[in-house]
Amino acid sequence: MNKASLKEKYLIYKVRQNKDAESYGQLYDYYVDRIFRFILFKVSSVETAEDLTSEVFLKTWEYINTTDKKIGNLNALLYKVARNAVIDHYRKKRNDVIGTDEDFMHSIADHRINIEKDANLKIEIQSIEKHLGKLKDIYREVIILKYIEEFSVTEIAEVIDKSRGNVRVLLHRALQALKEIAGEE
Amino acid sequence: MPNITEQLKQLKQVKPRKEWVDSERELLLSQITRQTAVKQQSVFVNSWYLAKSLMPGSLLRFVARPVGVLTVITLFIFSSGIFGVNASKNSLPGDFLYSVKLTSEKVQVGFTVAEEKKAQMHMGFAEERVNEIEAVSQKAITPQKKQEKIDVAAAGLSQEMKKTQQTLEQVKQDSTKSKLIVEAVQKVDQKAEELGDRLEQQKQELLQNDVLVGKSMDIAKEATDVTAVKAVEVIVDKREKGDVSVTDNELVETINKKINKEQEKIKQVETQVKEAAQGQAKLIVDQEKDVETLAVDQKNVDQNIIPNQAEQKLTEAKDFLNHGDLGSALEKIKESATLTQEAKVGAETIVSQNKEAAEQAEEVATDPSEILPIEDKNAEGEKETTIENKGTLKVE
Repeated sequence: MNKASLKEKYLIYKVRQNKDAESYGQLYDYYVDRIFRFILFKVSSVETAEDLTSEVFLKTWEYINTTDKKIGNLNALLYKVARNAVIDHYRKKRNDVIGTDEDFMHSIADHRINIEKDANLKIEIQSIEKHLGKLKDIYREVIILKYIEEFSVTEIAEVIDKSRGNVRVLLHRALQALKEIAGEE
Repeated sequence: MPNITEQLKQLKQVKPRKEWVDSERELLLSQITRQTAVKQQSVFVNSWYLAKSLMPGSLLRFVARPVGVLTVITLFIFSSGIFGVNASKNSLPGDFLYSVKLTSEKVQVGFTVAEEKKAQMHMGFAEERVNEIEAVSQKAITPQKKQEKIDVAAAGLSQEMKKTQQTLEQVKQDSTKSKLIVEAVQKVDQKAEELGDRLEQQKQELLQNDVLVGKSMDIAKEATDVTAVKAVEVIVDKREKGDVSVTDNELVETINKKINKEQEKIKQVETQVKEAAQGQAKLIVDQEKDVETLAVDQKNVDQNIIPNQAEQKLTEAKDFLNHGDLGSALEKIKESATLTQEAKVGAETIVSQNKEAAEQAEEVATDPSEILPIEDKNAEGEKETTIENKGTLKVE
């Protein structure tokens, strides 16, 4: 067990036993960027991503403090909750299609950090985001988890509740689809 | 063209706004802090959970199995967590375990499913708040500390009443017809009336003992009155939707009782208003105020008009009741109660102002610097000046 995961387990223990808000705050600090990013690439607006991210952390707190199960992998748990929050969001909206390319790029572009320093980099990022927006939701999801969040195949399988074999096939197909979209432009 | 996976990795630079992250963190922590209370547990229980979190499952099972049963029994006996919740039952506002008491109440509600049972549960907790107010009143502490603790309990009482009202609304929306539901709501009505009476009695005792109770008790009393009427509203609504668990005669009797109770309140308030007006008139005469001031103060005496208006509303309520319009009768009772409360608060304000003015006048009368001395010319050595109206002042 490495040092980072030991610290995380200790923080989770403090949250469960003492309902320690500050410990949960430390977990929030560690995960907020990646959860926000994951949700942002699945919804069309930053405002929605912010709202859903808040919801995810509140729901996770409630889950940690009500469940009897051991929290073996907080990383996977947070992404599962995030995934479900996005699904619920679209169910309410009755719309499982991501926004237009323009909406997507505009909303992402407003919230870059330190990208302005390199205009070329900004253009590249906007370009790849546009391609990502054209993928099927499940393809986009596995691409985000694998190549942006650097999850292992096992971790991806746990988050999306599929077998490892299934995940490998999805990754292969998703990458092919993305290359085709990128190649067309 | 860079490799597509390299391009994807660059998306890792997408991050939320720092201001949003910081403000969201603060909001999140304040929300979760409000929801929770610290559980007091023994070192044994804490160590067990820490081990369970950090050790691999297989090792834990190997260690735990031989002494597992014994350990569980020991933990059960010595766990201060259990003792903590029990010990908190008698705690009062300001006590260390008071937050544990409130949290355990929330947990109990959380485990209750039926709305009418939740309403009864909230009334039970409301009664506990009244018990706390009564207990604090008996404590040998300063009036200020009493007031602070009572304010906390009274605020808690108001909250329980609000939750009861919300739960009653849910019961009203539920189309289930059941004698149990109606009985439960009737109990809520009776309990609310009882708590309102106890609260009023306690407030008068505190005022007599010079403990200045804040607005919190008035607000709590009003909330109990609203809850009592709300309960009857729910029963009337159920009846109108065809629920036969309660008869029309029973309902008419209940509403009549409410009207009679309101009439008693109006009589008490009329007496209070008259006393307040008399007190003010006496003060005006004593202080020899000028005519303009007299006119300004006179408006306060017009409080006695409000009880008449409240009485009028009750007459209208009786009319509606006689015509079988129970819902409208209840509305008039509510309007009457609001007016009565207004007159009562007004009368109490005037009494308090009178008291303050009387105290100020007394201070002025005994303050030598305000009175011009008249010298006694015959005195030698030690001069003695005689103050015209009150007391003497020695000047050396």
